[in-house]
Amino acid sequence: MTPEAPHLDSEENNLDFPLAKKIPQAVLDEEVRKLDELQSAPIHKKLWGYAKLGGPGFMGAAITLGAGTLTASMLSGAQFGYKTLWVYWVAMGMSLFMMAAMARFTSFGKEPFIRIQNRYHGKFMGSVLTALVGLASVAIIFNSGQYSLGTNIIESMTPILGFDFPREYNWVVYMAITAWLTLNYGTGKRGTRIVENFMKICIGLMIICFGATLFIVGIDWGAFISGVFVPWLPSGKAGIDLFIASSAAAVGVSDWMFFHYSGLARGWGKNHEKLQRSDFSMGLFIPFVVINFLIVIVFAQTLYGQEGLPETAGQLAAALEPLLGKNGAMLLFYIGFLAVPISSSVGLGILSGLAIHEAFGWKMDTSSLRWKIVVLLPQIGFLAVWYPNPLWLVIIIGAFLSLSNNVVGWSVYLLLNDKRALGEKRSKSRIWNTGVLVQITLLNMVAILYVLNRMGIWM
Amino acid sequence: MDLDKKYGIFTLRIWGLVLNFIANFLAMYGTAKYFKDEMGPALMILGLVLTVLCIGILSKPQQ
Repeated sequence: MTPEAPHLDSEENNLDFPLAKKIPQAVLDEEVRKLDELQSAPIHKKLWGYAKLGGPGFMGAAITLGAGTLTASMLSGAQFGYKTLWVYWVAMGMSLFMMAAMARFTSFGKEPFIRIQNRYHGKFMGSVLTALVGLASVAIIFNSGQYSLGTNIIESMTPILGFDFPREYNWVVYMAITAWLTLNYGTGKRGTRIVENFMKICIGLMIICFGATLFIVGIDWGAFISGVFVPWLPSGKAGIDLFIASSAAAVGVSDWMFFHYSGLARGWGKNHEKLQRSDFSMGLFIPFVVINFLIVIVFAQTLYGQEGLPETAGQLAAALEPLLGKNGAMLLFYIGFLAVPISSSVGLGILSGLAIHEAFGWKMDTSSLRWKIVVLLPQIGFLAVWYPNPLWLVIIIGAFLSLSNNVVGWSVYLLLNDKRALGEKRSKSRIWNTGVLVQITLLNMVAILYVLNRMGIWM
Repeated sequence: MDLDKKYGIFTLRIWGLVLNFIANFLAMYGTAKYFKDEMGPALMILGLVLTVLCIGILSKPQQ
């Protein structure tokens, strides 16, 4: 017999989410009042108001724009010039259907999403595949990539400021900043807003600094317009690899769940669906596309066509030094670049806390020692300063992720269409369902590609 | 067609997702073989057509 979900409306549901409990009801009511006012405001006031009230979308962008995504964009610009720009807005555009699904669960779900999965699709799907594999392992394992990049950037940028600060020492500063911000999250409206505003500042820094670098290196407008609007892929399997990896990597399980849970932590309910849609459009879609565009163009303008390109983000950035000069321009690039791993590390810590508590059904109490330990688990990534992740671990996690992401996507689609989970607020739109199914198909293809690669059929 | 009616252990909607996955596999396997000149495009095309059909059918919301 299928257990029935508790009959709670969304407001009660949010009160059942401990992180939201730290926000006084008067503050939540005031936010709803402001949202009501914005309904009838002129469009520019409405957008500005939504941008001020938003936050989880920007935090999602900060997680998505990590070391891996930025390295791929740098390589793409250096190898293919402007030609792959179209992939970014198409891929992120498609993933908005899935983000809209998560917003629906935040506003109208009868419980937080992983608990709904546990109830209707079993604990293996919810606690294991989604929370532990899709979220916690990503947060803990992949933070080492952020540490590696972040400490590398600090080491490279400090000589421009007139002193040396090697990564063997600067990781302490990196850890202090990211740990402090991570621990602030969920400690009430002020703590959460500090973290959200920090993420907004990081996104702003990336745009300003990379934009300033672009101003120096210039832009080929003809190639830019062609790259944005004319689909192009390298021929053969390399092209298919690039498209699938870029499109599915744009937004995955961790981004869907992070947006959902950080919305719940803000106390968002049935009055906030419009705000959420605007938040993931302005906070996630636009920054993701703009920042990737900027990175691709900078590298297309400087390194495209050169032989023997470096392969890591740190080396690629260092390759810009002779072109930008060891001065303010390079410093600006490094500052924008440093915002990438720092904001991702903070997001990954919060993700670790949310995921592990949901997986084991623990109550989220930000003042408890357990919460503090769990959100700081990804800080073990500091070891990457001396030792990269063991290859076997990266392969195992990569395999689990590739093979489980699509199955979690199936679960989201099924629950979005399930009356038991969303009642009358379930999807009633063919277009919405089609968008979600296209995203799932891309994730299926990533999983299949992984298997075919291992069987030696694809490569 | 009621996608939410059970057939065996799963609803038609879940069977549809499984079929879509198989179609995706055929498309990818067919593509790999086609680019290696080990096979014609038939399997790749079959996989792609099945994928489009699955997405079209599964996009129907619950009644």
